[in-house]
Amino acid sequence: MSARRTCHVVVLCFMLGLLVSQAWGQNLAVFPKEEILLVGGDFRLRSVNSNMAGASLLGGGESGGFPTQDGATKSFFDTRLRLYWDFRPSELLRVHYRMEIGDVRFGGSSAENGSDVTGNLVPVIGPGSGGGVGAGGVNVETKNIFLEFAMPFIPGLSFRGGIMGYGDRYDFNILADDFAGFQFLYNRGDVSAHFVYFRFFQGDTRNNADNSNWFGIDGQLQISEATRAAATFYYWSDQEHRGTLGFTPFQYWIGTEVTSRVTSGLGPIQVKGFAIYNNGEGFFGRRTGKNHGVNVSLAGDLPLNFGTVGLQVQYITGERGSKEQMEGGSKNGKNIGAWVSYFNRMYAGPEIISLGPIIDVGDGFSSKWGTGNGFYNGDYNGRLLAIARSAFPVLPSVSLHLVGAYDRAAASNVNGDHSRGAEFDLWAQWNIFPKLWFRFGGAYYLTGSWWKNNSDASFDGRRPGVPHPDNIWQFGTRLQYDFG
Amino acid sequence: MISAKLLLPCVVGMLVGLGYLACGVVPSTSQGRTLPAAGHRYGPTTPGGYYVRVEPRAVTMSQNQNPQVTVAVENTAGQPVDDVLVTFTPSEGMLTTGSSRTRGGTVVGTFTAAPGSDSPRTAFLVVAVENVEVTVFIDIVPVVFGR
Repeated sequence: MSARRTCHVVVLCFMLGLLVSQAWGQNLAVFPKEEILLVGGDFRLRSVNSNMAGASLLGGGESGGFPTQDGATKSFFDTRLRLYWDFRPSELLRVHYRMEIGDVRFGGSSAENGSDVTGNLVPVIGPGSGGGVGAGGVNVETKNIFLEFAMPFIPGLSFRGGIMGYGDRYDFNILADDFAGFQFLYNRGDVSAHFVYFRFFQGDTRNNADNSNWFGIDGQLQISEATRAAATFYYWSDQEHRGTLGFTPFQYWIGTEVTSRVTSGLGPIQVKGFAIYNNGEGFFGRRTGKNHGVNVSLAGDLPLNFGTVGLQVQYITGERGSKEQMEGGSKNGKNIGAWVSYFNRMYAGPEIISLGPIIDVGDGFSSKWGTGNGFYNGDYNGRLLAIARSAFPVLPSVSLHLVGAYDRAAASNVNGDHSRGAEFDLWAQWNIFPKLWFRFGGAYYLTGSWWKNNSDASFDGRRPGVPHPDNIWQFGTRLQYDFG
Repeated sequence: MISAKLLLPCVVGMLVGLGYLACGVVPSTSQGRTLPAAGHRYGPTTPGGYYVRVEPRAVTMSQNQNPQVTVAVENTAGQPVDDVLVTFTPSEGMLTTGSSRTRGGTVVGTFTAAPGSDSPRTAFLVVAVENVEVTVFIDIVPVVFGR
């Protein structure tokens, strides 16, 4: 027997022996029967009434809403069922599948483009389809399908791979959706960390998104009894576009976050603050040139005897002017001081500016829309946002929520305007039975001068804006049952 | 004689295999068994002089999950102490336990998030043993991220 063959045999026998010993060591059957099946999901029925206009596919297909002039009212009901199956043959392994049927709409046909109030394209009881990764606008779709198991060698290390939901720890300011990729996760003691890789396919996050790669590493450490600190690095590379631009578009984000429970004279305050630096070059081929930006946020919530009150302030750097100046215009090829990200979802806040907590309609003003250049809505003028929020349990099963928000661009638009507006929200939640709840309320947004005659505030981000944008209102109800 | 070309894979294979074997046969580090305490130990408490350990310290969950938090109370020598009162105060939702006093040195609590709150957020769970309070940060993420 040759040395090569001997080596192969030895290694094979060795590995075989180790596999058997490992299985024995785990006290598990080598081929366990998949007899544990968990099923769950949620059913939602909602109504939406709003005069918010939806962004157009012409601008890139992003969801998002904005004010228009004398805009039509959209009213409709829709329903949705989400189901999941969890196969757990052991504590160390699971296979997860999650699907969605809906949103199936009733009414609202006056919306010619078939979009809901945020611009998401939704068919009116359209034909069935499915299989798209995180796809929206179809009746049946796969949301998640992944495998997860504990890795050998290092206690606390696990692997997850497939199509899965992922969001950053910074209020989803950078990235949050369902993606295809894999994760290595470590969680033990005071340390929690993960590495993540995603492959962005055409249409994953927007209709004109390019094939590209996303890498991330995130870690957090408990530094005391009541404080944790975290740091994150994300890198996005679009090598597919190298040929058309002559360079590889990229973006990276470096973030840090501190979460703490701080003692005060009024009681413990739950504090969360973060800062993120972004730098890159090019973005989806809409412009050449470099960009850099900063996104900082500080939030505190104070539980009191009669409820909870909170305040959040966020500042995102921006650049003066308009997107037209940037896309092939006077700022093309220049280094601009604006923040770029995939998403900006300011949760735990206002309905219209943010992803709506009342009816869960979409991304509101905090998504990107129009130009497809990746700048979060604000737009590349940046944002100063202050949110005051509160929740009051008026009955054992009913809570009342009151929110106010002031919205201002960090840099002026092409007309020299900063003021974007102010929003007020009032909504209630009634927990009818365990896991069955009803939420209803409304929001009103007073549009500021930033929206007037602003080409950034149009269906595609290029047409002239309207001279007298409407104030925006949105009312809704949401009945939901969570099960499993 | 094994060539240098084959030597490296063999050595790597051996090392990997030995590590794999060690994980499989050493009870204290094998999968599926109770892990040795890895987190920081807080204390001593007053007046009991206990030390407190909480695991896990990092919890990420979706709305429909119910993660467990284990609180271990030890004496100075690291031995478990029984019949010590442990209280849990969540910033939202509820936490249920079989017993509020340690048995076998531990109390296990099960956390349930507030109903209907499907927005991503961080819940605070305060674990108190005498005068020592340890905060567990529970990151609640949407059941489905995509719209």
